[in-house]
Amino acid sequence: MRRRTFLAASVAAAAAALSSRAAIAHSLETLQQDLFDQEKYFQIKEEPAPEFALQDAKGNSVSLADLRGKVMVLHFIYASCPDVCPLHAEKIAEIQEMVNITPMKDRVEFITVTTDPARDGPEVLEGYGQAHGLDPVNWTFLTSGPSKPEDTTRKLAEQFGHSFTKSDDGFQTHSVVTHLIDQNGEWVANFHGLGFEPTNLVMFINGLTNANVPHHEPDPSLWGRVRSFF
Amino acid sequence: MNQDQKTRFTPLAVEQDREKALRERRKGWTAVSLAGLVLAMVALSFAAVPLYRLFCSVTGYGGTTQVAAAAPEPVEQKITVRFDANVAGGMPWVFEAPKPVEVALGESAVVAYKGRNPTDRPILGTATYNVTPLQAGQYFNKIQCFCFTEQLLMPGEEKEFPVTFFVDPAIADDPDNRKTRAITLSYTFFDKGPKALEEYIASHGSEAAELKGEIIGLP
Repeated sequence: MRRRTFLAASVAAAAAALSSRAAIAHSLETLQQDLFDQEKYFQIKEEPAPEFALQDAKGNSVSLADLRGKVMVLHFIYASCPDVCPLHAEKIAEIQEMVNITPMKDRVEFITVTTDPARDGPEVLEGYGQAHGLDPVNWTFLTSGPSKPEDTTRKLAEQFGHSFTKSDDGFQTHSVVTHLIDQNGEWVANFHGLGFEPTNLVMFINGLTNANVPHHEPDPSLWGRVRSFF
Repeated sequence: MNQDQKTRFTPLAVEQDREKALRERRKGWTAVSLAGLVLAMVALSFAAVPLYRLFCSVTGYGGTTQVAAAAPEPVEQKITVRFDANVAGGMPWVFEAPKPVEVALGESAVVAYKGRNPTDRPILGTATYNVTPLQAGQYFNKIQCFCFTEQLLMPGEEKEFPVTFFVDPAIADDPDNRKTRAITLSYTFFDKGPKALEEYIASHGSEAAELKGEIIGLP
C-alpha cells in the first residue's frame, strides 16, 4: 500500500514538474540552453561585464554605465590588422544589418574597441566603419584616448578573457570573440571565432531585448513533455 | 536397474542437483542484475542534463524563470493590438501579418500570421519578434507563438503561424503606459541558410530521408 502511494506521488510530482518545465519554453533561459546545445561557438557567461571608460572618434567619453539599458555587442580589433579583424568587423556588420531591420535597432549598441590606440587615431576610427559596412546609427569605435596608458584597451581585452599580444613588427596575436552584455551590464555570452551562425547571435540578442516580455506556453501532451526533456 | 542408475536417484544426488540448479539460476540473476545496473547507469548519464533542467525548473535554482499558468480575469478597458510582418534581405518567403484586433485587457486572443515559400527549394526560417512600445512589453503576454523556433517551408508551401496572447490588465495602472492605446507585435523572418537546413534535416531522423529527396543541390 505504502509502495503504491509512493509510486502515485512520484508520478504526480513528475507530471507537475514536466508541466512547469513546458511553461518556460521560449524564455531567454530556454533559448540560452538551446543555443548551448546547437551552436558550438556559443558560451554562456554569468558575471558583471568589466567596467570601462573610453572615448569615441570625436573624443566623447563612453563608459559601460552610459550603455545601460541597451544590449551591447562588443568586440576588440585594431585597424591595421591584416587578416582576421576585417573579417570580424564584417561579420559584426552583417549582424548589425539583420538587427537594424527590426525594432531591435534602438535597443542594441554595437561597440568596437581598438587594441592599438597609438595608431588608430580619430581619422582611422572615423573611416573604419564605412570601409567595413558598419552603420554609425548604433555602432561606435572606441579608443582609450591620449590621457590613458597605451595598453588600456589591451588590458580590457584581457579582462574579457583574451589577449592581444604586440609583436615587434606592430602586429598583434589574438583570438576572435564577440561579447554579449545585457541591459543591466551583465556579461551574458561569448560567440567564439567567425564560424557561428549569424541568425543564432541575432536570436540571442532578440531574447535579451525581450527579457521583459512574459511567455506562457500551453500544456502539451504528457508524452510531448517527456520528449521535450530529451 | 543397475548400480549406477540406483545411485543417481538417491536423495543426496537429487539435493545436489537442485542446489546446483539454484546456484546457476542465482548466477544468471546476478549477471542480469549487473547488466541492468550498467544499462541504468548509462541511461542516467544521458539523462543528467534533462534531469538537471527539470530540477532547475521545479526549484527555480540557477535563476530559471517561473511563470503563471493562466490569463487574469478580463476587464472592460480595451486596447488595440497591431501586427507587423517583415522578411530579412535574401529571405524569399511571402510573410503576411493578421489585421489589427481590439481586445479587452486580460482577454486571450488568437491571430495567425501567414508564410508562403514561393521558390522551388525548401527554406528553413527563424523569426525574431518585438513588442512596441518598449514599456508595454512586460504586459504583453504570449501564450503561443513561433518565436525562436526553426520553421521549414517546402517549395510552394503555405503555413499559418498562430499567436495567442493577452494584455495584462495591470498595464492600466502603470504610469509609464498611461498614453498607450495600441501595442504592435512585430515579427521578422530570416533565412537560416543551406548549412542550417542540412543540419535541420540531419537532426530530424526518420523525416530526413523523405525530406532530403526533395532538396535540390544537397548530397
